Amino acid sequence: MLNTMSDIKLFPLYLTFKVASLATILSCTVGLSLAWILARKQFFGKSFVDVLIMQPLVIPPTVLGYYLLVLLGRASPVGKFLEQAFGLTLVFTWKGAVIAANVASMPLFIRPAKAAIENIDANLENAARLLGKSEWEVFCTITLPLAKRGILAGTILAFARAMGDFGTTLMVAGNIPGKTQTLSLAIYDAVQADNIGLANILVLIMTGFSIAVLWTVNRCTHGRY
Amino acid sequence: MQKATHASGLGLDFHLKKQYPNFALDIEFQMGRELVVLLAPSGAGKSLTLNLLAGIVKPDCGYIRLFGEELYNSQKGISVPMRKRRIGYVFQDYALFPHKTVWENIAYGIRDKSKRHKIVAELLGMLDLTAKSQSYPSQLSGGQKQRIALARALAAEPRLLLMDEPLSALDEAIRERLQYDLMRLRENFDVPMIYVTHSHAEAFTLADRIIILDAGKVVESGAKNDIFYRPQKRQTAEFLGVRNIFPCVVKAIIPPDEMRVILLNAEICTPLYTRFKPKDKVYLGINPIDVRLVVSDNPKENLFDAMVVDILPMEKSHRIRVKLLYQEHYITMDLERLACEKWKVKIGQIIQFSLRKEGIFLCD
Repeated sequence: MLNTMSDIKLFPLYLTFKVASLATILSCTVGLSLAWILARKQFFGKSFVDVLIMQPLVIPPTVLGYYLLVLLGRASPVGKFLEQAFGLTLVFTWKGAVIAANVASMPLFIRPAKAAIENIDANLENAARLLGKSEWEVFCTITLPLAKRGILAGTILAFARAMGDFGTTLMVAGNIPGKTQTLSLAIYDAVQADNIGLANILVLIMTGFSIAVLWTVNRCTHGRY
Repeated sequence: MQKATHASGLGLDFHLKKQYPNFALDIEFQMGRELVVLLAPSGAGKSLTLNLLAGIVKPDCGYIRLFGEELYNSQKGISVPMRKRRIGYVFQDYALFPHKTVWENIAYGIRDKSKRHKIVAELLGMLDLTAKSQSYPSQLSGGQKQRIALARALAAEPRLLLMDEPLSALDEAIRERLQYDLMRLRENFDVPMIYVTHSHAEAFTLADRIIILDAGKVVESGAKNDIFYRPQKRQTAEFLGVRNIFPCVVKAIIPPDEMRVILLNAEICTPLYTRFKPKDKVYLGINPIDVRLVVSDNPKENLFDAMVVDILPMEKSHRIRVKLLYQEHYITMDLERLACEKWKVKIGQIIQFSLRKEGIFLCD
């Protein structure tokens, strides 16, 4: 047991929280804008965009990872641009893990957030506009507070998914100990190395976290209004 | 279209068109600082008219001018956004912000923050809701919610107030209370108001003028008494529930204030309508209350003999349907319950009735 305890490295735990937190912040900003647009605006090709955004939920993580690798790799136009303009390399770095976790988890944020915004009576927002409020004020004072439960539930689900991502992260960021190895990848490595004790402890950490997440989501989605 | 002739001048002037696959709205109207009731059956385009004025729905073409300022003009490409129109809107389902208290709801649209406390306190006092200022909408009754919705719209000092069937979901006692409130509030807020309803009673109580709308078109508009007692169109009379409408022909004009028309082979004396001339084919309408049972020799004109065919007992009066003798025409009359009992009116009985001249109207 003592040996097992000494095997636990804090880096995967730290990296996992760092990657999941940044990925979730990205989800909340980009995802909230997308959720609002999908819930409130009508435009050509809306259903296609909707399907595209939800794709990470259904396609295999390795396929998603492959797409990202092709899109963001150093040889790709996007990868070249990021490297030349900002000196930013995504593939096989922890930043790539953030992008991978973000893309994989964003649909889990968008779905409840979009549903929560759609559920708000449009006349509440119209009433606010007619009372002289700008779109931004309406969003901040009416839409956001009324959709907060859905948004919070989405945030927690996305964070949990980002923490547990394996396939997509492995494809984009690799499994480099001390550099891009997250908790899920560390569990995989521990099992591969037949270090079952370490695997058990890491699995317990993840399981406890998952239960806490679901409990919190349930608390968030039962509201007063 | 009738022009507003009020001393306060033109407040709102609009002509709006909106086309849907199965419905087309085309409405034009001018009004001053008055309360106009948009009276129409369901699906006639009442709420759509308000939504077009408020900017919630974009018209296909037309214009809206409010106190001379153009809020919308399709030709000039003007469309002032909702937040800059300064239009108060009382929604049918109240649309109170559920996460804000009564105080916060009313204060939400007040632009001058230093006046917030004073304005909210005044409105709450006026509507007798001061004790509820820290309650949430979910803790209020329907009538209280509606009063808060009205207070919220007025607190923002709108230049035009739109009300979409504000009393439809409330029971009668509360509706009456709110009508008193609304009439009192009008004394303090002198702005053009458009009130949408399908209730004739509400329209009569509240309106200065009435617009009758049907299938997206204005059927008739005018002062309340003209619409209710002297409608110009048969469609208006039918919509307002006038039971007795018959085709007739103008026979003669008898100066200074009478006309004679031929109705069901009888010569009827009516008030003077200068827009009609002899031989015009018109419709004669009369409400059941103005059809009188003849029990003495007093009425000498507009007399008919008829047989009672139906009696519908009602709370204060009985509604009686009679069939004219030797003809296939029916007339509905209202007779006070006590009179009905006194004269022992029963089905099959032959009676004589008269059409009260002042209650008769002629329309196209």
